[in-house]
Amino acid sequence: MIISSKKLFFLFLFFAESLSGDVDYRVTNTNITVTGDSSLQSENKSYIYNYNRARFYADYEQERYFGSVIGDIVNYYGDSYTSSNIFEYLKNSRSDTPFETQTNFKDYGKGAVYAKLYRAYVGYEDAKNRVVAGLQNISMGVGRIWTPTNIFNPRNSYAIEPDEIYGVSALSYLRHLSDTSHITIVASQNKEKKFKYAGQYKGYLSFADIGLNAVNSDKTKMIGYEIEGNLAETGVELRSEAGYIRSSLEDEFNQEYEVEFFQGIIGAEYGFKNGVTLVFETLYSSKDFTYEEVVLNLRSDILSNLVNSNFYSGVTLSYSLNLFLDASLLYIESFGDKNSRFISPSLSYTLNDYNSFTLGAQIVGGKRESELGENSYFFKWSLSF
Amino acid sequence: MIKLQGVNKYFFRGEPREVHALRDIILTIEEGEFTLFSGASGCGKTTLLNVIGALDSCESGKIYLDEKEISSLDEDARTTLRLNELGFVFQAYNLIPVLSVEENIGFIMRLRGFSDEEIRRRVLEVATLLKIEDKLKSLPNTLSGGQQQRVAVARAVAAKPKIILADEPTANLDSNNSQILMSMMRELNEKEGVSILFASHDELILKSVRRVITLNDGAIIDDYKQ
Repeated sequence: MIISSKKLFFLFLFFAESLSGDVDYRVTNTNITVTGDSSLQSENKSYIYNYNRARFYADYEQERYFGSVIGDIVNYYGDSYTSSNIFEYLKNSRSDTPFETQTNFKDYGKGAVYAKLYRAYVGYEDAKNRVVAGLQNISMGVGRIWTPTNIFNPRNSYAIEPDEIYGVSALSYLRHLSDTSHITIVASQNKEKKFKYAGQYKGYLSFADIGLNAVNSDKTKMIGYEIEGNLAETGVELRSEAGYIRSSLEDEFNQEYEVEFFQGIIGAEYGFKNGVTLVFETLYSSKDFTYEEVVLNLRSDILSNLVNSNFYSGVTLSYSLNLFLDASLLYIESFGDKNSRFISPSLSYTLNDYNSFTLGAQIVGGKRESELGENSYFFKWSLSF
Repeated sequence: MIKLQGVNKYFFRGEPREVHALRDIILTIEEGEFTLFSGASGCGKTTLLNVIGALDSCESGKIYLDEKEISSLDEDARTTLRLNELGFVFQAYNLIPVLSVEENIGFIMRLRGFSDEEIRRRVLEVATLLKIEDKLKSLPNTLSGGQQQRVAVARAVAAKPKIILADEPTANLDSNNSQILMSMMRELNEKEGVSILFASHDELILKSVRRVITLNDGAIIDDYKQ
């Protein structure tokens, strides 16, 4: 039986209220004004729009039981954007779940609005076990810029909100094997009601955290590792994750063909005494994919692994200027794709615990048709209460 | 132009549910034909279209395209053949949602390495022929079903294939849009000289084509020109 996201939300609220535990409610609001050019190759258009996301949290906890529902109302204001082809692309991006997690966009002329269920899960946890069922984020990988082994919930470093990722409809079970190791098993279901499974072992060795990951779906198989540890007493944190991936893609005539490749990252992070934190990461893929392969496989499990280049490097620099002011810079260089690059500087001002403001840009260098898109500039403020 | 000699195709071979999908098909299709494979559901018409289009293989028999045997090609060679020699129109349009109409029509041409200028010129030419030239900057899902199918036909014909294979192209269209589509496909067939083979049980297609090949239980039972 398919339960709509709206029903799930109200069911959760009903049960949460009728139970004896505490329910915490929170609301946050994120507002971003963006100006830029369409990143679609065929669309020679500039736009300015305002994005507003009101997020409602309801978190329930009673002894060993917990649950959470996160719902959004998202409004795009600016008809130059909401009438563009790139916005049509956005409207067609949906979670890969057996039930709809969002409403259709309501176009009101000057803009468009929709509501979505971002997370909705319940769980149980004791000293040895943790079980979570529902719309959740299955986290794999240790990368800060790329997470090639995360076939479930990859992040999009080029997005204005890179951590905004769709949840998956899943049942996950974690079992602690010792104080320093655990295994996790996940079963999730996609839009076509097909199952995807993952298994992970994570443990702490004397020098590092290590993990072994495996994913199996009807189209994709992956085995991989992740490792994160300190380089002796230097203060440098090293990390790496990589996977061997086999998957079926579709060609222009809907014929399936298999691809096999290795993809991984190595990276380092260091916090200088003056407050600057430097993260370096480099991504290698034994296979690169054409733009045509990517657009033909938008619903693939491994969409985020379909990179246009074999080799990328990225750096993030962040610095707290004072208690209120933080600066950061993300720089990504694609060494294939005719050396295109992506630069995103931002400056954030935290007024208090509930208000912050960010001014930033996403600047792209390279050909218009490069994978990294087009320039855009944004101003973001967020508010929570 | 296309010759089939004793083609047999099975599904689930050796299993209790074995289906003999094509039975000793012997057939010649000349250049510029406008032909329908008709018959009831499960008669083998789509399977026949798929083996001619190198989307599927056959167990025995030979298929020739312009004297070249294509039934024994490996998967890579079949992929190349489909890209370079054939065009396809599917029931569900199969357009790429994030590409504009212009990019969808030029997609196969781009894969084949045509220059940007050639693609632009040809896309405008076929879009004009199919009366969708004012939709070139739109995305597929902003178009009606009839317009989307015309984009799919434009994409199939743009790279000038030898044959277009159309599987139930009118199945998702109302009768008015089906009529418009068929008259445009007939015009393409005449103006461009491209052979078009349909698999369908739509009466409208039956009335529009010049040759009808009827299948039953995997075998050809009738073949006539009208």
